[in-house]
Amino acid sequence: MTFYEKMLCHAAAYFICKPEVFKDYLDDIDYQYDAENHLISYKDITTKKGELPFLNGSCFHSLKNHYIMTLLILCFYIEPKIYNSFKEEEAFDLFDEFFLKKFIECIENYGISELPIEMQYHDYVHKSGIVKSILETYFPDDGISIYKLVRKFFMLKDFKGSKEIYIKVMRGITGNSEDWKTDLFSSLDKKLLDDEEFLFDVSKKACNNWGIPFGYASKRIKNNKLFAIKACNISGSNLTDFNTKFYSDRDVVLLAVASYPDSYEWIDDVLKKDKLIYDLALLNAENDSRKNRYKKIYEEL
Amino acid sequence: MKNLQNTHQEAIKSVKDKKEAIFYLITLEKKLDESKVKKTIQIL
Repeated sequence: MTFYEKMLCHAAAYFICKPEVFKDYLDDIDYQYDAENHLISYKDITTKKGELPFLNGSCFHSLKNHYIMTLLILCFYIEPKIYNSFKEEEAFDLFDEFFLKKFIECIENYGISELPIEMQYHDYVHKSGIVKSILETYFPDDGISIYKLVRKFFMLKDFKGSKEIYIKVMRGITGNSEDWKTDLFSSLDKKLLDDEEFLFDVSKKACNNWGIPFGYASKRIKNNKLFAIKACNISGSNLTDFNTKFYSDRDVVLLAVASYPDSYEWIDDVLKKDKLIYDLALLNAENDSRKNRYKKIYEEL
Repeated sequence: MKNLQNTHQEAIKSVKDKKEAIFYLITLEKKLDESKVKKTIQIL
């Protein structure tokens, strides 16, 4: 039984976008959709509801059905606007929230291997909630390609302006983090990068690494002592993301060294000689080798 | 089943236009129905 379902999904995916055509979309994130290059669109399937009931669903069923989700992900990548017409068809209040959950699940679990075919019973669904063997011909399981979906996702107006959704996505998708998270963060709207509430939320709830969030913050944020103190209280490693003037600010440095002793290496020489700061670095040193490193710096000054 | 898979691969590649594509999908959908009926009969 699963065999026909899979064949149908495979054929629909192939007609929507041949893998060789899809390559252009994957290589260039801004590659524009052109209906001429595709045999059918998702709309062609939904308008045949009577004859193609299996590929049409309603509300929860549509996104829970891994065949439909596979086609939706494929269509969504080549033409993100399809999401809006899909959503309208569903007319379901929590659609965004439900889709977001399935979307995160798909990307986060994509790298997990499928069960061998002989162990795939009729109700088998891959952990990503899609049919991996079909989607893999479009998004190779190379630890990079599937994350391009996130950039596409934030091209949609509905999600672009939502701080909550940024945080949910950044928190929910952990794989290949540095690459897609830095790409995404550097492309954020300037207003968001000047929004301290958003930046601190990201730092506390989602990600505080690779210069995210404060390395991308506006000048106003980076120059503000209050924000520097608060950020260093979360992690002293944030010190380098702020204006270098804080390397010689004792209040900021104290907090930085207290939570991240390695920041002792970057601070101003005058403060390196400050007994309290030096002792704090030694007290917090991760191991003897780090302790010796701080001692050497202190003695050489 | 392997033969069926190969025939399917060749068949979808030979489809040239939208009309044919939809026709192919509807044919498969019908087969899906038939297989469901057969399965139900087997269970009964």
